[in-house]
Amino acid sequence: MSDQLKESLSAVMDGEADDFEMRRVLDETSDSPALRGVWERYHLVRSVMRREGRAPMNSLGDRFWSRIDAGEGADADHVVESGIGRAARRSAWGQRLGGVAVAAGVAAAVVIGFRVNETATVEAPKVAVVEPSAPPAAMALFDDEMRDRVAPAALDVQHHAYMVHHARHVALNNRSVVPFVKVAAFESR
Amino acid sequence: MSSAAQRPVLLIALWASLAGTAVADKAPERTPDEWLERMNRAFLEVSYDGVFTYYSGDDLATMRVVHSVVNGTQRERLIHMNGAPREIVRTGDVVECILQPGDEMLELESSIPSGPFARAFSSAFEGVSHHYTLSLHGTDRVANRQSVRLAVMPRDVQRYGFRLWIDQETGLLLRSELVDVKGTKLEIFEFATVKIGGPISEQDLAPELGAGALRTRLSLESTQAEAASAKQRVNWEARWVPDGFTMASWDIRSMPSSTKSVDTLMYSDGLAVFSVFIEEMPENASTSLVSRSGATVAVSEVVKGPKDAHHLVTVVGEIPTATAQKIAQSIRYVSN
Repeated sequence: MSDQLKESLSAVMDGEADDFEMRRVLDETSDSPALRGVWERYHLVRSVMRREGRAPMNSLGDRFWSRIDAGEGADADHVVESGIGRAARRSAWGQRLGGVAVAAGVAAAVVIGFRVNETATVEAPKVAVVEPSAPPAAMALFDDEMRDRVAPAALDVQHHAYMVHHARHVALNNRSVVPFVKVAAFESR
Repeated sequence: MSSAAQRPVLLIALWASLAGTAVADKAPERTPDEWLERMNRAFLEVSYDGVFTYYSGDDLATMRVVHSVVNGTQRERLIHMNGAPREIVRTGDVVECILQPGDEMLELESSIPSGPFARAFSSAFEGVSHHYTLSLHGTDRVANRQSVRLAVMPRDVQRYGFRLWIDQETGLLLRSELVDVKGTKLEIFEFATVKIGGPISEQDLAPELGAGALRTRLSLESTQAEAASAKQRVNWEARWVPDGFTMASWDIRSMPSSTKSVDTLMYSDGLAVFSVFIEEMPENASTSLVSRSGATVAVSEVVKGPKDAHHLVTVVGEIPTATAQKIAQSIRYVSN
């Protein structure tokens, strides 16, 4: 993928792309899996920097998030730098981008960008809607079918077991039904 | 417009709002602390039968709950309305999970140490206002009942907050939201419909899953076991926990999912709870891992134990990821 495309992509993310540039990026994104990957990472990093939205379970994103939350600024900067290139070099990139994190994973369905000026008032969102060429196959799957497809790693299983143990322990010692709701919810996963 | 012309309008508005308050609040005025205390008591004292939804992460569950208190003995039945038929029935300290054969469920140990946990929890509860700010936010209607809204917001970023809708008449919790520091809802619990008070029939408390159903019993350990475990020492401690969290229980046992023994520590600040599990390093474990399910986070870190052997520390609880990570990194082995 060309650097020019990456530049265009981060311009779109920053809401600085003109209509032509955005159109081009969206077309390219739907054709190129590699570009889509970059697109998803940009979104992930953006939502991490804004500390909004929860990254997928056990994903790299969760680890980014917790590192940033833990105040390991240098570490986080390194990750961001290698992940998004030009966009990360812009100071206060995260602060300038207001708005709603777009769920990573769906190729270019909706792009929402807010511009925030110095007095922090928000202009109307700029929304571009593009139909993806084909919906991802995963959209047709129900949760239990998804689980069948992905074999959990050993430590994931261990984490889940500990979560159930924790929930049960809290529930039994708490003498009220509400914590059992959590137990029941965990058991059915 | 002159101020003279405004005054009658203002007076009428003031009068109307005063009259409205007088009609709506027939119940005696209570402080936020009193509402929280009342809610806590209602869990134990009120009989009810209702259907609620529970949203956590990306899961939505719908369940019916029947709760009765007769002569101080609690009986509860929790019924999954969707998916495989499942019930949890509780009588006093004994809990039974009832499922259909073939329905998978995690095999876990059947007894849970009560330890000093329950006591620590209730005594920590009295200190809740040191770590959370309680405030009332008017009334609302939930499950067709009038409720008061109580916000329980943490005083630091080390724990989550709660928004609670408490039944005005009985104190029963009708809706709750667990929120993070940005106000994002991590879990929502809400009654769709609930009948409060009145006798609960034996039939409503009896499980529907009959012959052939699988039953798993959970119970609180006897006081003797509690005394025995109190003699055992856990050789691990957290060097850092958020203000107000105290160790509520500890335990050394093997978990069915692992052949090795696992040390367990539990901490509570009266509202939030987290558990710490310490085990010898599994061979296939990666060094650090974060899992999240709704508001519950699990964080694993590697620490050095006796003779510099690597151990895996896992912190699980309804606390922010950064808090869990900081706790996990502070776990140290202490030799006696």
